Amino acid sequence: MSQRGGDVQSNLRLSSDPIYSDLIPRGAADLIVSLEPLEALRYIPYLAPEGWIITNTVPFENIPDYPPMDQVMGALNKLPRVIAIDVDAIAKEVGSPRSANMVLLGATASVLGILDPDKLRDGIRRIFGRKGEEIVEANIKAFDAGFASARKK
Amino acid sequence: MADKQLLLGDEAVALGALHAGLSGVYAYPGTPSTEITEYIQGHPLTRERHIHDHWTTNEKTAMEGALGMSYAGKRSLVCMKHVGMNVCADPLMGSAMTGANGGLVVAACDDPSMHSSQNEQDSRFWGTFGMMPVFEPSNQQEAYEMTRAAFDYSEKRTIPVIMRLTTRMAHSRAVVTPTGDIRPQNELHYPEYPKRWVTLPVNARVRNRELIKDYAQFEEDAATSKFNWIADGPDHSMGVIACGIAYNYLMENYPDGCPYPVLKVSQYPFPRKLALKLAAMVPTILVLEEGQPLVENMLRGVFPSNTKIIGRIDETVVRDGELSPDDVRKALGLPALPTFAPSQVLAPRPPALCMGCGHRDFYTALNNVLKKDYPTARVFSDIGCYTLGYMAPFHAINTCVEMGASFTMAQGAAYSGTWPAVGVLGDSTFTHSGMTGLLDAVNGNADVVLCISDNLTTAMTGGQDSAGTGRIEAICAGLGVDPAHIRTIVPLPKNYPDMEKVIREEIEYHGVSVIVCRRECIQTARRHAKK
Ligand SMILES: Cc1ncc(C[n+]2csc(CCOP(=O)(O)OP(=O)(O)O)c2C)c(N)n1
Ligand code: SF4
Repeated sequence: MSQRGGDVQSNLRLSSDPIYSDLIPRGAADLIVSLEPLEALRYIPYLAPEGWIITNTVPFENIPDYPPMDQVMGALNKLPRVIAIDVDAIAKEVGSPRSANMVLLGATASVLGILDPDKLRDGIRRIFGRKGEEIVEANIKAFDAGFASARKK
Repeated sequence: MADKQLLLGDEAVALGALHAGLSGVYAYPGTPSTEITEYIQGHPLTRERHIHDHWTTNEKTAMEGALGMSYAGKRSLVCMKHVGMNVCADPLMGSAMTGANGGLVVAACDDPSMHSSQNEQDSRFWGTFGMMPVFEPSNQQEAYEMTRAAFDYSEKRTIPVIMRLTTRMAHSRAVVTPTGDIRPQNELHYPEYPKRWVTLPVNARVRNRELIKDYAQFEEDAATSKFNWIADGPDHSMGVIACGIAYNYLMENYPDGCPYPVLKVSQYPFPRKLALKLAAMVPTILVLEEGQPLVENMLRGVFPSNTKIIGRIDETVVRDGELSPDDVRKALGLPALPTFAPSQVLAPRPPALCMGCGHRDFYTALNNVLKKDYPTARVFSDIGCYTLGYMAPFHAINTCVEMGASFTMAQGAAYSGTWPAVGVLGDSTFTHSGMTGLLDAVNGNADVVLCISDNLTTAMTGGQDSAGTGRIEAICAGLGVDPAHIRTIVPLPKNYPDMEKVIREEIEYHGVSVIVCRRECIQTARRHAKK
């Protein structure tokens, strides 16, 4: 229902052991990755005590009662491990405003631990290869910028 | 390694069907079943083998088409969301009486918690009701394998098999390794028992007794099926019956193995023999099932029993909604994992009509007329994107029940004295179940204004082809609506004056009016522009 502006989330689980549940239990998410700050906040009961939140800081205000931004960011920043970056600005800075999601992925890669960032770069090459070298490079650049900006935090 | 694929549960069913020698998929879209058919439509084998893959007009025509294919000896698959089973209930129940010839599998995708549905009915009941076997996979690999097994089983026992998935099974991706050869398609061959296929009472009475016997055989089969098994555990203070994906939530809570004996069930009729075996080991049985408490109800007799049954009915497990690992954790008496309290700074973000959507302009014009000049009007709507006209800022509709109900409910209200009585549905809903109601309106000369908000697609489920595209006015005229009262308007802000004039005129006409409001869905338009 994302095309009609409702909230959308999905669960991703990676493990070298068998995974039983498709759904992540409450308190068991190692990462919450969000393209929107209010949406990051929505799912914190799923976050593990040691888990990270990686979120965009730019709100998507399509509802009349969107809470004041200082409250949203205040609530987020109260959590122990948060990387909040202006993903849209970084994407624009590196010249590909449509790669905001790659910036976020780069930032995520910086704390992922279990996956070598080069594996993700390979994945980006594979997914965008069809669209030509230029698009691949723009996405890699966005990924790297996200990675670097999260490292600075 | 090369063979491994990352597939949705829906896609695993689709691939299983293709590899089982499918000749046709018959389906009407509906969340969470749509991706089964879409996967088949996009697969190279479908073109290579000329597999029939067109969307059908509704679930009833789908079920009937598939049954015809089964009669001719070929393997066919029917796919729909759970409420689609209601629409095809007549041929579904009939198919248990005729039995299957070529393998016939009916994939029904349930939506507990109603993520995008109007109820949480449990499709396993159709198995009990119609005396048909039900398969319920618990992971994507099993979905692939069980679909292949379901086609074989359908032919072996000459019976349609229901494949029941729920939202998380249908819509989550995991690695699937296809097994076995790609089976050839069946040759044309006709049924061994031709009398069954003519369900006159003289034949049906005989068949009904056979079916009752067969159903007992299906339960025997379920008791020895490789998809149903008991695993012992060290702690015999309790046993667990885990059906379908409920098994995953149980095991999620015991990474080192479940301490209790477990009966896992993925094939029905429910194998009572295995339950008795489990009951001999433990005093209490916890029933975990996704959906309504079907198994639990069956195990909880009216009379006293030595085995205590716990589950949804006594609220050991949450009474409704889909299961989660957290609900199961609680039922097992395990402490919740530590985490963060829900934030106080939240606001819900409900879905809304896209900006620029034609339904918006239609509702704006309709509201401009009704709210101002016809305060007694009632608007009977239906299921589709346009149902979001209920939400702010429109508040434009009074009812939404099931597909097609708008046109017929408007008539019932009109005959009761409601004026103006307005019906609103989308083009796909119109061909699904609105056309028959329109014929009723014509025959009864109802005083109604029936609006078809035609966006040239089935938008709600992702933009599939719509059965009547390009022929909506012709269909209405063919059903007998006076052509002078079939009006077409284009929903755009600059057209509000014209749109309002047409709506007003048709309200003032005391007979059957049809207003076709046509502009392409902007999501599909965008996709077409990219191509
Ligand atoms: C019996 C049944 N089958 C399928 C569905 C799923 N479904 C909901 S709305 C819809 C289609 C609506 O298409 P249309 O009438 O053209 O309206 P649109 O969404 O395009 O506005 C479908 C297939 C359902 N709710 N009930
Ligand atoms: S998907 Fe199409 S029909 Fe549905 S709300 Fe968006 S524009 Fe309207």
